[in-house]
Amino acid sequence: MTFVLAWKPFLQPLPGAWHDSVWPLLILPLCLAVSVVYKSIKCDSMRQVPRQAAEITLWILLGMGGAAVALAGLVKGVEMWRG
Amino acid sequence: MPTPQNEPHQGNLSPTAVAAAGWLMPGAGYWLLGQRQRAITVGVTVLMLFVAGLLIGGVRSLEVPGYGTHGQRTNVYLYRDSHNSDQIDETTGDDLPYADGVWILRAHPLDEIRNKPWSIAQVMAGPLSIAGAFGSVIASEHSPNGGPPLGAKSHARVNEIAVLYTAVAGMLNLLAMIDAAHRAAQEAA
Repeated sequence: MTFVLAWKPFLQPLPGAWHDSVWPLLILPLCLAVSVVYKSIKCDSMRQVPRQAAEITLWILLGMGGAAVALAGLVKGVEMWRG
Repeated sequence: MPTPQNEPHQGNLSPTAVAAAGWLMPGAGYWLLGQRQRAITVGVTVLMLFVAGLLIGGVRSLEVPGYGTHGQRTNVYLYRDSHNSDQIDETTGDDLPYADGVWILRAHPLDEIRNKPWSIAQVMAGPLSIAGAFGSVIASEHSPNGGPPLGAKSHARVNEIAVLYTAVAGMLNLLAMIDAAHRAAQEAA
């Protein structure tokens, strides 16, 4: 808690002890923002945006997760192959 | 009956004016076209993403072309080669013992911007990015009594995430500016 109180927003980066554990979650706002802006541009009616943005956010996260699993599998495979 | 997201606007607006408004204030291009909901959604999202990037990595995660790590102007200096006095070489730096340095943004603007490519994406987020760059230069300078700079520089993963947030915010705003300009052109036709 002390490191959060000592943190000066905008002048210092996020405290290390905090972002070390939660940094993978920082992908969520980024994906959501990309989806919302993209669907705001694509959809004719803004009523469609919340549902479609949620849908595409899920697809991006699934795609990223899939890519992470595939790359982790590739690294493990190369490690095993090289002994 | 016009809906809030599709209110008619007064007169035909030029696509250039709509794009410029979108740069000055993210989402303002749609606002001028009478698409208020779209304007607020895009504007708030772009601004929040940019500010979140600065919160994650600090304002010094913005690398400003023309300025060095400690907020000084980066200059280009010409000097005579010590081994071959006929040859004149060029070097860059913040504080070199040569006279008559030229600011690198005047001498080699494209090279300097190419050295900091994320700044191109970040500046698309509008005047907020320029204010952030100004803050980055101020926060990078050593204090007058020789103490540490006001702001701390982020490194590694946290810096990457901050740069990504701010650059994506700029790219999304560019997308919105192009779309708003295209809609303005369609309405004018």
